Amino acid sequence: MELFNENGCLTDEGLQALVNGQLDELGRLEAAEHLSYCDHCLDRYTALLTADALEEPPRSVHKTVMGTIWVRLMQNTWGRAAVAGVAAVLALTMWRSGTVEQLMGLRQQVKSWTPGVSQSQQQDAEGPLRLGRPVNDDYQPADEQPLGQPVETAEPQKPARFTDALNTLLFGRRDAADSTHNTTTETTTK
Amino acid sequence: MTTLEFSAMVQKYQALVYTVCHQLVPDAGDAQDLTQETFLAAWRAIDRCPPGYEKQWLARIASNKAKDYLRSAWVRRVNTPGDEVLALEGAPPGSQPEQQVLDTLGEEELTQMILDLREPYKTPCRLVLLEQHTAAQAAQLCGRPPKTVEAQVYRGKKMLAQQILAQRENDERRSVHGAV
Repeated sequence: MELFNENGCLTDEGLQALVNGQLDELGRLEAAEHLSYCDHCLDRYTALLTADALEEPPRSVHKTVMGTIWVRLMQNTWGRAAVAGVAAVLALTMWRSGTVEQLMGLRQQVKSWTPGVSQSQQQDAEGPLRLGRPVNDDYQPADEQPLGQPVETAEPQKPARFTDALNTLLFGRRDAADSTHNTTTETTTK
Repeated sequence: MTTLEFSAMVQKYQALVYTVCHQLVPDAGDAQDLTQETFLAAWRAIDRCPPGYEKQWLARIASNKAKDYLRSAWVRRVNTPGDEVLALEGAPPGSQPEQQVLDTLGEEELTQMILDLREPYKTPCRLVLLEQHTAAQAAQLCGRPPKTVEAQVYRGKKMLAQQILAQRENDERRSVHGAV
């Protein structure tokens, strides 16, 4: 018996042999492989599976399948909701019973036991946070003024420490930058 | 599709799915397991079910499940110790036993043997072994899934190797009879 024709599709007698359970293991494997991709042969095969040719499973599959699906649904949807609900109830209980205040008090107590932090240590701790900030970060911009007008500052801006150090390093003295600034302002007023 | 609708679908098609599984896998217990797996896979991919084609769609999933089961069972049984019998002396180490057997054959003889293979092995073996296409290219050319083509070429090689060995045994017997 030829299971496949020259086009590689299942023959009529091959399909009939499959329905009658007359194929060996290799034949069944070949038929299953073919039915898994060939729409034409799958249509022919399902057409042969009429009501009188169908077999009932020994045990009903319905209950097991639906049970498994319900369990998975519960795990996916309700499981997350249940975890969130339990967490919310726990937080509320802790808040209402004063556990949170107790914990805060405990924290304060622990803080008071530890030695005070020195200023230099505080600066060290703040060091990385200050990186990337502009040098003159204490400069407060004046109120919004129309463009094109010279900006008048009431008093000269106090330079930051880093600027001082840079001026000293570059010009040898601290007021070098100030003197040049003064001369330029004088020339402009003249 | 809601869970209730899917439940109704399971009720309606469980006999069909079980029949497909049982016709491909004769053991009733295995067929029952495959039926359950089919419906669970169908539930996971329910959005891809073409409306009005539930019967064909479920039959396809069932045949896929049966194919995977049969393929692993066949591979388990065929690749048992004893395959080394196919290996020939002097063949490069590490090569497949059936490939070693095929390498000993002349080109014309091998070509004829491949062309004499039956379907579904002839087309993929011709494309891969004679025309030197990759499995992916051969799959595209003959409209089959790449995994199926790989499996068919693998089994085709085994068939060819068995044919060659059987032919050799016959030749040896004839020569012994001739000498006697």
